[in-house]
Amino acid sequence: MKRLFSSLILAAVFAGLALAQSSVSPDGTEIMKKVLSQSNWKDMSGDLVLTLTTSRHETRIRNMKFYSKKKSENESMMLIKIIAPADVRGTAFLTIEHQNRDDDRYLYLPALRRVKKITASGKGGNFMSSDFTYYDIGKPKLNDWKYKRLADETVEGHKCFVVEASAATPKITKDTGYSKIIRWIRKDTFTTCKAVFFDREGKKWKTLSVPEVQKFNGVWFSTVMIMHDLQLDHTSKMTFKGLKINTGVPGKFFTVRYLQRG
Amino acid sequence: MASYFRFVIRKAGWVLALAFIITLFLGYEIKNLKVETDISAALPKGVPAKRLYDKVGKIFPSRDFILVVVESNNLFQTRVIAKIQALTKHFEDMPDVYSVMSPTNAKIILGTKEGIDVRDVLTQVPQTPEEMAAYRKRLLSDNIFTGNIISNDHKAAGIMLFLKKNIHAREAAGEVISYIKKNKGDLKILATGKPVVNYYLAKGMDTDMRRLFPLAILVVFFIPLFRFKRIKMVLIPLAVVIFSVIWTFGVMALVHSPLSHSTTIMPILLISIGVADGIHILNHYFSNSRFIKERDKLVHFTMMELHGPVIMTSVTTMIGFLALNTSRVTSLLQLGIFTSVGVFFAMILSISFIPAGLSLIKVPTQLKEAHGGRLEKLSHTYAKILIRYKWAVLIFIIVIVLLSIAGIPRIKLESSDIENFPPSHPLRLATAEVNDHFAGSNYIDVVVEGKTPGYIKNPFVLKKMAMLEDSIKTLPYVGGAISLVDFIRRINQVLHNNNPAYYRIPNETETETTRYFDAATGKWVHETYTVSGRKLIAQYLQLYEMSGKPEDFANLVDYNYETAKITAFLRTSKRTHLKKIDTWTRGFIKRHFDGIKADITGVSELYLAVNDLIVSGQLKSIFLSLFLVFLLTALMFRSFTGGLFNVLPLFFAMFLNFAVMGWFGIYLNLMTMVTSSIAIGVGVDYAIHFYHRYRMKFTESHDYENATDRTMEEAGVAIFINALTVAAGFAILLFSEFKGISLMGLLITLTMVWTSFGALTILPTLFMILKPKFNSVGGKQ
Repeated sequence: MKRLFSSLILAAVFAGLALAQSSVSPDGTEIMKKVLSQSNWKDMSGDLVLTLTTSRHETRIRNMKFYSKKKSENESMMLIKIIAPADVRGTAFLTIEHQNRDDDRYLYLPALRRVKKITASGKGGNFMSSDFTYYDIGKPKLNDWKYKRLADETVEGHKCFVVEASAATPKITKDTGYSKIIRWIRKDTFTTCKAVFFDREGKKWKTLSVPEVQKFNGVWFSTVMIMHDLQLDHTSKMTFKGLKINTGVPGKFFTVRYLQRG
Repeated sequence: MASYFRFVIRKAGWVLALAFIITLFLGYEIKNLKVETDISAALPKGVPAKRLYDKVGKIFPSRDFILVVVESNNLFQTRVIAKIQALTKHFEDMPDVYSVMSPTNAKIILGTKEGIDVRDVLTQVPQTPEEMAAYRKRLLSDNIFTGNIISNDHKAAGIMLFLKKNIHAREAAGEVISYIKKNKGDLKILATGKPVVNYYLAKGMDTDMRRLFPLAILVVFFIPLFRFKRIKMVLIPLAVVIFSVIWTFGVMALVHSPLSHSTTIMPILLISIGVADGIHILNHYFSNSRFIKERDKLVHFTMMELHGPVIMTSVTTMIGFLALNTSRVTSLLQLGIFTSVGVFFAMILSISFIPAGLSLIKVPTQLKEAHGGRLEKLSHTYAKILIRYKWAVLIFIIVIVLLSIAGIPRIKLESSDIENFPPSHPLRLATAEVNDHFAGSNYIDVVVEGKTPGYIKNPFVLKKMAMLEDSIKTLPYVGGAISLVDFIRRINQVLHNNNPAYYRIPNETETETTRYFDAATGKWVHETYTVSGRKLIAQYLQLYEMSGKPEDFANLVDYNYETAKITAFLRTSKRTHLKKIDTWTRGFIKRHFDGIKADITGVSELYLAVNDLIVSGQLKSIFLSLFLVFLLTALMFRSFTGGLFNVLPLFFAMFLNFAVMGWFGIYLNLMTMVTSSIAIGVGVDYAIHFYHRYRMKFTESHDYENATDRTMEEAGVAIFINALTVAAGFAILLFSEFKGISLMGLLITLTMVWTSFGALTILPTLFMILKPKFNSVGGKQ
């Protein structure tokens, strides 16, 4: 399964055309297949701003640099370096995704000059204490979900397919925390522009909105994503800037030794 | 007034119909009446304690918690843990719950070989003994939890429900309690915490109302019936009191004023007070029926004779209650205002509904003999004793007053919302249990207010917080404390090979050693360097956040690490204990905090503030009402000494009440303090009646002893019957669920005894000894 930064992605390119021309209306699985197949990048890097906002309108802002590289079709590696705030500047976070076991996660603390391994507790864990889980930012595995196409809708002027994804097995729900996800997928870009996540008990939990997509190397990327936790009334916003695709990020970036060097 | 009463008698049917219609309308409104038990609603906005409480409420997402305790001799068995997990999940899903902390969903910080592990203590309910043992070990490895979600003896589990703000915490508590009841099976599951207290308070208020109201109705029905022996007649004043209660509650509902713990006693007050006028009117109606045979004339004559005193005594009663308004405590304010409104309604009904009612029923025929006799004889004997032993009586009274004064210093300012409940109440049992096994069911918060974002991350701030937290834990009745400090210390230790020496807040500058593999030499290199504690702390938090949820620390520190709180769990809700902890903490902050701004808040703090407000406010209101009553009676009788004589029995009653409290260990608090105002408002009536009649009799005979005897027969009996009825009505409060209210009932009942005794004994004795000049009736000098 999984994910990593293919995430941002949920991209799609030429496929749209093919689908549009086919006289047969695609079903939910076909649409999702199209969406997922578009993450054909090898590596990427850029700046990431993570803004967390509480119901009391307090905010926390983290400025980061990130590097990501595909390890295999469904596995990737990611390095994040915190730039600001100052007291955590230099803190670096390395994640190596594994297909069949828990991901490896390491944190370099400059104050201790030491790398600490963080035990990953499932994909449902929160990414940097945001409303995004590791699962959300990773690449979903097609077969984890059963898809059902719902009636098309228009979201903020974009014509969208609406696909309901239900967990294929109880384990998926347990792993991800989601029993069901409804996605609105833009017909023009094959990116998710809106999604609603349902918790284990089937209650509405979070909503995702994607106000901005950009095309890099012919691939559409979601460059601004806003996740709102309805139950906690907490919001996380990810803004990507200066995305660079396939520039040949060196593989050594994604090692503990590189991390240790600070 | 004469033509008014003629009108009322002529249109009697209409008057009754109108009264019924108003009653139906206002009675229907009562369905909108709300109940408010939240102490914070009782405080005026300007009070510092309230301001801080509200401010903290804005910063932190939750402020009330419910502690659900699951007890078992063997906690660590699959069945019990499964139950705890099921409860936890259910509570997490309750819309009013912000977060839940329980032994099945807690996050533990574990040191591992390579690093640190912040993980859920439990992912699946352990099925095998090995799994269970591992779970037990994990849970107990982190001492942050002992006393909070796991009892000190490991025999009970605590599930802490942090409730959202702006919800009805009391109703959430009700839901929790009924859910526990349905799902506890054979386990012992209890609930405590302020919302639970408030829930039981509201429930008890409800039971009280349902039980005491009918009892009071019975009392004010049967005592007059015993004297007047005519059901139809006795029903008239009874209708007056019931109507006035309904009208008052209806008006409260109309103006959206909720019932509070203080206002629940209002129906009993209104019944007891409101019936007095009716009894008075009936009494005279009966006496007059000996001379006037025609019904309408009889009613008209009686009303012309009595509307003055009825209005006068009602006005003094209203003043007594309105004086409660000097207290800034909202619930008392409401009690004052609405009881006055109720007394006003009773007065209006007494001079409309009663004459109208009387004019529609038959004049009693056979009551000349039924009337009086034994009581009148008794009154003569009593007058004789007073006349003969007036000096002895005076000395007796002086001795009583001196004894009373001696008792006053013994009065203890004390209250406890828990001890207000009967000893066998589930809340009392649960609280005792929790106080035995856990850190406590009550709490105070010490709030540290920083000046800039990130302020709390400074070692010097956290060190002071740690110092306070460690010291406050050693105080009596403080069972434990929790703050961000505990997490920082824990992480600091875990990241230093679990070395207990590192269970502390990092210093401003720390010396750290690290080692790294030097590829050039192929050797491990050890390196020592210095780093700022602030950076260490910030990165510890970052580390925790990496595995945490967005608001894991939300109840300990605000989002920008600007304001933090230390929550100390308390095993007491007694005012004196709280006050000691409060004073100690304030002193500690003053001595050690070097300019770091910190203050105390929490519901307990509000209780202290409310109590202090009441006591300071109440003395003011007592003197104000005494002064107003003096002024009013002085004006009424156009005599300065007349005013003095009228408030004298009130002073006497007040002294005696305080003496009873001092000698019998009844605590002075919100409830018992209110009795003084009630005593003044209601008790002055007897003095007014006695003084009024005595002056009349004295003007006739110019003989103090003769006037004493005559007054005793005419007014004395009426005062006695009246006081008896009112006292019996108030005595109903003795049957309340709540100790505070039943003590209040006792004190008010006693007050009726003291004030009537004062009027019937002190006044004539003083008159006979001091021989004051009485101005002639009509008020001219």
